[in-house]
Amino acid sequence: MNGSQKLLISVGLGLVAISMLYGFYYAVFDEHQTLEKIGLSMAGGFAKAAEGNLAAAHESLQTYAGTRIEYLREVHGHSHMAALGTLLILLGLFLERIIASEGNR
Amino acid sequence: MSNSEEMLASDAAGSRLFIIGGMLLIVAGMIFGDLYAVFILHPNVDQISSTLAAATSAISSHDAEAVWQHFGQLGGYLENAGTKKDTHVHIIQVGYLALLLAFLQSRVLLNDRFKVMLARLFLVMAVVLPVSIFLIHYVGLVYSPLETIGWASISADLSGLLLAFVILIQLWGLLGSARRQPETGPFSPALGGIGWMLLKGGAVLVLLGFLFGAWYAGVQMQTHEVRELTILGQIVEQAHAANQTAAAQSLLAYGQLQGERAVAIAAHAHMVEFGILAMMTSLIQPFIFLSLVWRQRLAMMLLIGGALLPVAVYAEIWFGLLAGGVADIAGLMVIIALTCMLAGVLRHTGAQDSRGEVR
Repeated sequence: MNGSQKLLISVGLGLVAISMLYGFYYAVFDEHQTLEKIGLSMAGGFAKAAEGNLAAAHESLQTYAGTRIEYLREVHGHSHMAALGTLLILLGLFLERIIASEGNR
Repeated sequence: MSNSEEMLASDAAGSRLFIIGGMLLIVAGMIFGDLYAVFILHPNVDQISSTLAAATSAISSHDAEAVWQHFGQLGGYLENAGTKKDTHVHIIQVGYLALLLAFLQSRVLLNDRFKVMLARLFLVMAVVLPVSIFLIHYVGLVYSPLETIGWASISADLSGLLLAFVILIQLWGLLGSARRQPETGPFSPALGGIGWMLLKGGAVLVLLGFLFGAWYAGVQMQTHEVRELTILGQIVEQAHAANQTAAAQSLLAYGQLQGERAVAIAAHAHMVEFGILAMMTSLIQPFIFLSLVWRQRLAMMLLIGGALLPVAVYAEIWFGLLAGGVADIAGLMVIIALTCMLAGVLRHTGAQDSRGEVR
């Protein structure tokens, strides 16, 4: 294993491990609370409208939209880190086959 | 000895477990994805739409209690769809990792028996994780010691943690090997014509997936987010004013937006995933004990299916179920190609065992 491969594969494995640990942390400490907030704020928006309070309904829907964006960014952070790590390991395996000189690698 | 024989002979058990286990996981994940798309996804979308329409009607009748009830049901439908999608994604991702770890085993400086133990632990947890995610919707909070997290979630979290633990040990073994061992020839098996075809095709798919993802993130994503809030605001206002026709139109627009968002993300994710899969299968070509003609056919099938599926998924915006059907067939092409490649790998290991090369 040459230096460039070691770099790509080690960083790739590291990213995969960080992504898994982040996924664990997120699932245990944040995901359920965030999903609950998303559900409650959207349902709350509709319920406030049913009670005739449109200003509160819009406020609740704003909270829903903000929390949903936050949730998607966090989930995408987890999945993209794992995918990027996988790709780095794969490139590390192929590197010697596609680029001949170590300097260019 | 050929590259493949060297790899399997020098460190047979760990690599073999990872290759076969990884391919089985990927095939299982893809079959699950196809079944999910055909039998669960569309009925689930219908249930979600009708429940949201019922909640909107409840606004018009000023019945807040009914709104909460409808949203309770909606949460269940969303959890059902979400956990199925996560099951599909996680099986395939751990399958990819297993396949990659197979090629790293010869350079991981660890005791052989320990490597086999790690491979077994990884593969068992790779099954436990998606099965637990699948069960989250059904187990719920039954007998759970926690307020918001059920036993299935606890099992999924712990299996994910153990998988991370195995990856970290592999990284440690790899860094140890890099420090102590001199460079010992090429890392990956030599690529023949089919291998290069899969590698290049896969790289093009990954690149297209990245470009599409960058376009979506830069141009569409924020517009979608703003549109969602605007439409939801219109729904509650129109329903509050008892304007049923306008509210129904807004609900339709909301469904259309969710569809556009879902197919764009699915097209991006599948392009990258199939690209990675094609590149990985180029590595296993020397292990496939099938004739050259069949290996060429399977590689073509995988590349065509892999390129067609994301395009068909995105075309669902305009062609609906027709494009969805094409996507399902493309998915099936990839599944068949991969299953036949797995059969070829099993024939290869069987041939090696019969020659007594692997203990």
